[in-house]
Amino acid sequence: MTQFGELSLWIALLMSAWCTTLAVQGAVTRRRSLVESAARGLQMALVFSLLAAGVLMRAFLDGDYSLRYVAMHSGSSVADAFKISAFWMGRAGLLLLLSVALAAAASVAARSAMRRDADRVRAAVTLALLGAVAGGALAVTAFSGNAFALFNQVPTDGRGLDPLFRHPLGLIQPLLMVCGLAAAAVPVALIVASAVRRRFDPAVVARIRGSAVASWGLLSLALLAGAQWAYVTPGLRARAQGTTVVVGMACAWVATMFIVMAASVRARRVEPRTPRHRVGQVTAQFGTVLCLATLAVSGRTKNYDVQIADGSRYSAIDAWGHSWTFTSQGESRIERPGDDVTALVLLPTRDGVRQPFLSSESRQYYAAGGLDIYAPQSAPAIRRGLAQDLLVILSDAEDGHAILRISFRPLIELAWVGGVLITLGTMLLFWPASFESAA
Amino acid sequence: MTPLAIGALLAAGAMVWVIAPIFSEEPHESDSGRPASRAADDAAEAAILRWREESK
Repeated sequence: MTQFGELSLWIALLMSAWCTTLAVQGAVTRRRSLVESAARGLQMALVFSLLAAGVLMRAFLDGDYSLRYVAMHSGSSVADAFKISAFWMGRAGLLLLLSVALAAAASVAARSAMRRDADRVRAAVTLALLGAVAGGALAVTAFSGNAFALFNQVPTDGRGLDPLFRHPLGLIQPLLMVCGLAAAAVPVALIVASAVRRRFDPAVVARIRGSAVASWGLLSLALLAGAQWAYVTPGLRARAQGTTVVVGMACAWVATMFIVMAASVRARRVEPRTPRHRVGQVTAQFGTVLCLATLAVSGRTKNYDVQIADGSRYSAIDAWGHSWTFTSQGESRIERPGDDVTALVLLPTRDGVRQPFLSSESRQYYAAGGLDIYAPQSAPAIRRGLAQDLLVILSDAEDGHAILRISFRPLIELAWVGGVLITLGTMLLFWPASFESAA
Repeated sequence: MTPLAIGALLAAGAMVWVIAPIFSEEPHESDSGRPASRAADDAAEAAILRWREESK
């Protein structure tokens, strides 16, 4: 099956190259049959890239460690759900996923352009550009990040998934990011094709705006999900900061925002204000107020770095002036298949009133042969609340002593809700009224 | 049947489907936006007939 996956990847690349070549030829000669053939080529690029992705996903689920990529990012100790997310936690898998998303977005946009665009040459140029982008991603995947490379000697088990990526948000966030990035190619292709033809009629501007809003919304949700993931996984922010993926996502987010703004300038003068616009405006404004409130009280954040012995007590003041005590109930160690867990349990009180126990963990994951190839991963105890979040992050625990950080973060939950409201409100506000008829 | 053979068959089928529009193209299906002129056709037919008469 591995050979079938690799073959599918190469056929997908061939199909996208066919698409670009025939679409350019169709635009020059104005032959509809060539453009139709190019569109079919793009659809086949999607089908074959999906087949390649399906073969790789099956290798992950079956634990086929003859594939170098599977062995490097998965293992028998990895939970089934994380075997799915392990697919896109490496460069090759992420590129393949991006290729699939680009081929899908390009296929939909190209079909829409061919059906709706009165300027057939512009539709052909759009198709050629989208085919080139999908082909570029497939070429990088096939030439530099081939996920189907094999080991000469098959290992008995995989290396396991990096503990930083073992979180349920790892199943959603990369998908949102990749879909947002792929969707961003559509407005860019439409803008370039319109510039080539020197025709920016209202119908194409509405399509540019609609696809840019969809891309911006997906990227915004991806950024929020990424921020939430980094919030609950200490160490992830340092790992992700400045990486090509994160920088690319941020650049695409800014670019799509500018496209939405530019495309909306003219339309807002002529578009009538509807209840949808008003709901979007109020939602975005409410979200902004929530985020500003969090920002205003961010200076009240309290962090305490604590060394605490078993049975002893530590006192702290929270963001709103309440006094807390934390009594260590001691540490416990559990050995599980694949990881050892050290847990520290604290009994907190707030203004003398007993609160539920907090259990903060440090997990040491083991790869095949018991090798501790990854650094210990903290799983913080988080007590969420509207007024403030309480986080306890265990750094180390040994010989009856534990080193930990206690954080009080005021109104942080409002910022998450505010971010989602700003995204949804902005999408409602800027979604073009004529998109359905123009798209 | 090996996976590679299945892949090759799928690829061949896909290629046939992809190039089908080019071979099923009508002679006057170019997208120049100009309908075929009946007067031009009539003139061409007349010219051919005249050439045949002259060559007899």
